[in-house]
Amino acid sequence: MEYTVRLTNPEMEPVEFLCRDDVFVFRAATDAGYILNTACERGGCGACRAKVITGKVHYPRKVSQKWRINPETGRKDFIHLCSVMPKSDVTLETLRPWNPAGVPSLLALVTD
Amino acid sequence: MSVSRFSYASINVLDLPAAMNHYTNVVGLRLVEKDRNQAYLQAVDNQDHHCVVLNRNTVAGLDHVGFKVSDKSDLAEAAQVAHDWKLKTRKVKKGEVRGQGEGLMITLPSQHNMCLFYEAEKIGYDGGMENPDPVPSQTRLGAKVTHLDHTLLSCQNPAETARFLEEALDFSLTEKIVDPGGNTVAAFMTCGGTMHDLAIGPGPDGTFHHMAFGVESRGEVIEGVDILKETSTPALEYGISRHGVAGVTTIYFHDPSGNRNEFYNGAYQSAGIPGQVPPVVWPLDQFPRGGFYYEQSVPATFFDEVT
Repeated sequence: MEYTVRLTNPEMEPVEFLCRDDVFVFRAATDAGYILNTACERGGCGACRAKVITGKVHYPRKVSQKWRINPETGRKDFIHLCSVMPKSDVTLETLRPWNPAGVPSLLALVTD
Repeated sequence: MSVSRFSYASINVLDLPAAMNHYTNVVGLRLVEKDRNQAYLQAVDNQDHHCVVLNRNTVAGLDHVGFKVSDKSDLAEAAQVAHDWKLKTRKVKKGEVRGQGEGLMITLPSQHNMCLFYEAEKIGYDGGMENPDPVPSQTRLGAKVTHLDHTLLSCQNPAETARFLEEALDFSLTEKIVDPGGNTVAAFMTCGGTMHDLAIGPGPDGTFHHMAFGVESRGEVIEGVDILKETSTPALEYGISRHGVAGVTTIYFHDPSGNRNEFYNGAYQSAGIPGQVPPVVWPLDQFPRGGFYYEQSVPATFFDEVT
């Protein structure tokens, strides 16, 4: 199945992209041109954390539970975008802003 | 008081087989011993039982660091100084950490646990202990790592822990980063004559920033990078670089649980009496140059993200 992932962040205009249910959200975001704030990409450090606003995700691999806990609520409010896959259409609010992918268009350099 | 060297890091991992694969086939360590919940590994140029302990856990990060002392009586002396500093300690029984005699676990002001011990079981060098092969194995998988070199631990008040290491355990300060008020933000400390065995930097208390594995040449750092790329191991966005601090060639990457590792070459030796050799000082506003000398900047995630 393929679902729509909507990313929000207070500092950014929301973006949407498609993500299959067997693809990490981080990977689908990269393919769609959005570079998420990541470091370890293995669920250990928490650089890519987000909150689920609507919808469901699943964790196909183990992640460190330490940074899932929100100090304000004491609950596991955070998910790791590097290590989750969507189970439905989802809206996710990222802790840090993302960057546009920096792939230059070489064709733009060529004049006809 | 004589702490003689940084011996091992005991770290928590989420997937033990994946971690064992990383530390043997990517980093290039020898697997010494394992069971369902733990694995012990050692680099080729160290005779002791282990330099890395992997513990199966639900959180990543550090369990404790291990430092060897020169004399058994140092353990009692360390217990006394830790008591004077009002730090929590406990005795570690022989064999509690495998291949290791009794020890003393001190909870540092930074909330990291440090195990001091005297005896280590010997497994010998990889090349053998009698009539050895002088050239390290060229067919072993992974990078040409010779030894575990140092670790960087993060905490809220690096100056306080650095002061304990310097004043109570006789570590030497080789380099430091200071804020405009003269306060230490990061401290690079040695007990064994290397550039640093233990660095203390800013971050949440009790967190693990990285551990570094030494290789013999800058070329072998490059070969290490090739292995990271071939194995799709996530690495710091700068790739291979040079630190201003100590001028070393470096690349950072992550194990399968997100714990940060480094391949590292080119540090100086720091012989001298503890407290008698003035440290190199990096003012905080110059730290981007001290951090990453080529890029003259530090990635946002470098200090923010720890396990």
